[in-house]
Amino acid sequence: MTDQTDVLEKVRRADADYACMAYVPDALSESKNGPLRGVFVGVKDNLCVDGMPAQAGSRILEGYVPPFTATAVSRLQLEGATVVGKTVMDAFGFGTFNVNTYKIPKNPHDVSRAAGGSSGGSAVLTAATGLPCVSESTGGSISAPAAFCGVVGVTPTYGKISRYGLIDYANSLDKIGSMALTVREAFGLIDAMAGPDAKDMTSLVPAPKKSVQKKAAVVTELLEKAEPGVRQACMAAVEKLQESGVAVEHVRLEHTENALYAYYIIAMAEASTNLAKYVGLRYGQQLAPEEFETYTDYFTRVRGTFGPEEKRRILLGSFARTAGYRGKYYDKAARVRTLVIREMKSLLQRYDVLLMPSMPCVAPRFSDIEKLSPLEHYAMDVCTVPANLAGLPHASVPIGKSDGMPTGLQIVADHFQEDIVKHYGQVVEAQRK
Amino acid sequence: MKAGSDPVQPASLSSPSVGEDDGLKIGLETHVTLNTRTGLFCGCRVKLPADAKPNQYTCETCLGLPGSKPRLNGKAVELAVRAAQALGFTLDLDSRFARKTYYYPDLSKDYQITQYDRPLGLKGMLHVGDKTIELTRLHIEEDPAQIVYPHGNMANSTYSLLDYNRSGSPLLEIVTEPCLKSPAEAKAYLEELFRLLAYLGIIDAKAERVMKSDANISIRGGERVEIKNITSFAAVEKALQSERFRQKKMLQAGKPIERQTRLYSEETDTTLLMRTKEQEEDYGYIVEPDLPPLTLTAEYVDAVRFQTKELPDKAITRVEKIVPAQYAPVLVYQGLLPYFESSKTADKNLLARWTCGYLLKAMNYNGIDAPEQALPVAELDALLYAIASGKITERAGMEYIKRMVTEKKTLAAVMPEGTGSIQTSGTDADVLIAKIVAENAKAVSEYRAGKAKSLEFLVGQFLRQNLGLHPNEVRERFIKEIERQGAIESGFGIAKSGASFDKELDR
Amino acid sequence: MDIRKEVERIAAAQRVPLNDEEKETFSRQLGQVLAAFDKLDQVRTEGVPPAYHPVDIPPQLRKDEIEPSSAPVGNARRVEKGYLKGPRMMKTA
Repeated sequence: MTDQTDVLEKVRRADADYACMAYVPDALSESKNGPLRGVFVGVKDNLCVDGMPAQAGSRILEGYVPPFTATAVSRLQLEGATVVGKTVMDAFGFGTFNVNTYKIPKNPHDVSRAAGGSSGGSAVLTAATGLPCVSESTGGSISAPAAFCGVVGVTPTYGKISRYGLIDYANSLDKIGSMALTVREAFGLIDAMAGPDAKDMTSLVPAPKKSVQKKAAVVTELLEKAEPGVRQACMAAVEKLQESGVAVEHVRLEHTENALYAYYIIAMAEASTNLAKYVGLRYGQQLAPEEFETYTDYFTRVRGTFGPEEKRRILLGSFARTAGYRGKYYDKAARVRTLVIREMKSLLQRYDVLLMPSMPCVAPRFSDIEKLSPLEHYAMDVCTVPANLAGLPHASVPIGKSDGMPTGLQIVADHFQEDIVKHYGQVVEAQRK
Repeated sequence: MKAGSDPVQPASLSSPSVGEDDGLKIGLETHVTLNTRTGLFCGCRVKLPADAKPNQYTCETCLGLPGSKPRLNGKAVELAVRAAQALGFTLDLDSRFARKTYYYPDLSKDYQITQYDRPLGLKGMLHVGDKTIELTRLHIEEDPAQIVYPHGNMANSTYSLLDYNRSGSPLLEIVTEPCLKSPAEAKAYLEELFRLLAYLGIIDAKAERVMKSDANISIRGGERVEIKNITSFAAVEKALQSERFRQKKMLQAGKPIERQTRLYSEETDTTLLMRTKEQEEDYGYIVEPDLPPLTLTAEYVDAVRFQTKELPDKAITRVEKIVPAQYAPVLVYQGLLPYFESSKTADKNLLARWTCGYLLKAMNYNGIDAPEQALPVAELDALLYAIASGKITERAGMEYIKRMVTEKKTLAAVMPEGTGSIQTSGTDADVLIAKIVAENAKAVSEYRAGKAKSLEFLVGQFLRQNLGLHPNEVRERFIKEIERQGAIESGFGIAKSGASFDKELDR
Repeated sequence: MDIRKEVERIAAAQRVPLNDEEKETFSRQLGQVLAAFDKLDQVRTEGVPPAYHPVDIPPQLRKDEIEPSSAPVGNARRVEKGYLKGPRMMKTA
């Protein structure tokens, strides 16, 4: 089909220009008939697609070809969508700038700058070609690259979309979502993927919908943490909302910073167990086992393939759950998580949505990123983490530019109120024109 | 890790002399495979056919492929709850699954989904003989895979072979307090546990390797040593004896007994060092985030209890009231009780002796599990009546029952010609009725005088010895016979009665 | 707490190899991160239950019915007679 050839061409060109693809098939498969026929999607490389390699950004999964397809993706395929390839990412999702991996994507707005992470490849593909992507967020991995690359990124409620077939980063935090050029398209994908799945016992039936009250709250300290250009763009977008009849108030979250630490403790603890399976036995990197002294030596040798951020998170995560420290870190973080959820849900009884910048800055230069310590990397997630920790649905919608680079406004609603997010997203989107 | 760098253990062991007090403490952690069709977290079959190829019955979940997710088996939960109830555990209605992370080739995800700080059951007990063994906890977890050594054994094979068919099988772990006082007691505990779980259908008694234990043992002055993965009950006793001996020798030599994990080798009857305390894994438990809490409602728990068979202790107590004590456990544990209770044979002793003896023997010989399938209860009753009424000898009965079960024949079919049918023939019944009437003149005259109860007394006399006839039929025959004898006494119908006797003698 | 020692212990337990430089760098970096995590000590959480999921997830049970096994061993590179080839279990004495 000419359509298919054109699309593939676009994808390959974007990959050549911006290094956004982990895998592009030689030819696309025949689309099924359905409402999504003619829709071509990129898929983040931590989502399994039968027959396509899946490395989740890590060398340790080199050569792995999953024999099954993630439910979220197969639902799209059943409705006629076609997968154009797998997009690059930070290894296992570990990153805010998509630099922790073997192939680093470049921001189409300025190739000396990062695309954002961990779903950098998805945001770049969407920005460069207009094709929507199925993506994933654990602590902000959809909002960050969406904001940096100037596209719409939607992260639904935890459990709304089945995680079956998603290569895990942190199972109580991972959420499959979407990226697209428009709010309508992005939510269209969410709706097509959503719904309980017998294969994932944490996938949920949504709660009843609430109606829009036209009251929003801006999270003050997150505005304050943002660099001036980002802050201005956000405030301008918020003012336009007010003009359209939305009552906007300012609130402070008591637990903004605590949310960051609680998030990283839980995410890394879970991640360190998820990465235990990569020992070179059943898939991925494999060596000749009989050449090693014992299974411990073999496993250790194979796991030397992990990159530095993977090793760091395995160490930190294991530390957080080791006997003797588990109460202080892992259990404590879980209790702080309760406080964060309570606080945000309580606010979301009074307001339709919470508003904040998606990221405290615009996409940084690669040269600047190199100077950051791990802790400074993590601190960049301060805007996205609270909503992600609480599993609340949110979207990053492009607003005014700063320094010539895109910025995003993050819109957060209560659990299962994706429609409210969509509503505000579309208002903000319309106001930009 | 060097194997067994300890004082030499003799090939045959003499256990410490009776009465010696070395402060021996034994605790057992037993894993039993729950009697389900599929895995704990996936739909792969777990009861493997004899021709199963390695890794044939695996899927992305039990193989731990990235992206796979666990799906909890409802039957496993039901069986675990049933076991917890039978062992007197307090159920946690909000127990949780946990991840236990450690690196071993038989663990497909390199973490095991188990239960840690909120197990399904706490504080249970099991009666073994006249002792009560306290149980600490009970929980559900998944089985690792099987490791095979292509050349040699675990210690010297240059590589291993992995078969994940067993990976993900549902296990129940039951932990005792360290209250077992001898290796023999440990063995007895395991045997009793096995019996109870098999009786309740929680484990498949006929399956191989359905129960395995880790044993913890310490003596005064030494730390606790763990012996892992012992499969047979006899091996448990031997392993504990062997280890106790080793520890005593260590103490005598002035060497400390340190915390460590050992393996028992049946070939050499010794325990070998597997890993020291320093080499212990750091399990780093977290709550299993791919599964919701295992929340059980009161209704669910009640429904499980309601559907559970009568517990063996109760059944035995009940049955002991009507049969000699030695038959009660056999009837209960061999699944013969419902059959026994459906029988019409009045002599329960005779019935129990034959059910638990020759019938059970014939069942085992023919590989038949259910008594009703081996021999319909009515046929057994017929056979027992024939013996009780002297129609056939016990010896003959032994032969008949063998053939009836093996060849699936009725008693009538296996009895030789001329012996006559038993239940429907009036001959023996009539002889007995006549005898009873003749011997109970008082009751007969009372009946003739209008006392119905006396007739019942006579009927009762008959029924006590011969159940081939329905009581109503018996009553009618008594009435007839009383009339007949009355007629004889009064002199009427001599010829008639004589003729009828002659007729009977002709047969 | 000796961070360097903990890093080495945990790396060994998690079968992650670290060269000397990594041990040095990671000890420093992890020390910084843990110091930040320690700020949670100040948060009052008495009586606050832990949240291991962000939303309530109802319990679910699967029917005990056999499903066809896909036997997805295709990604294993070393297979012998249907078994997956694994490493040696114990060092030779």
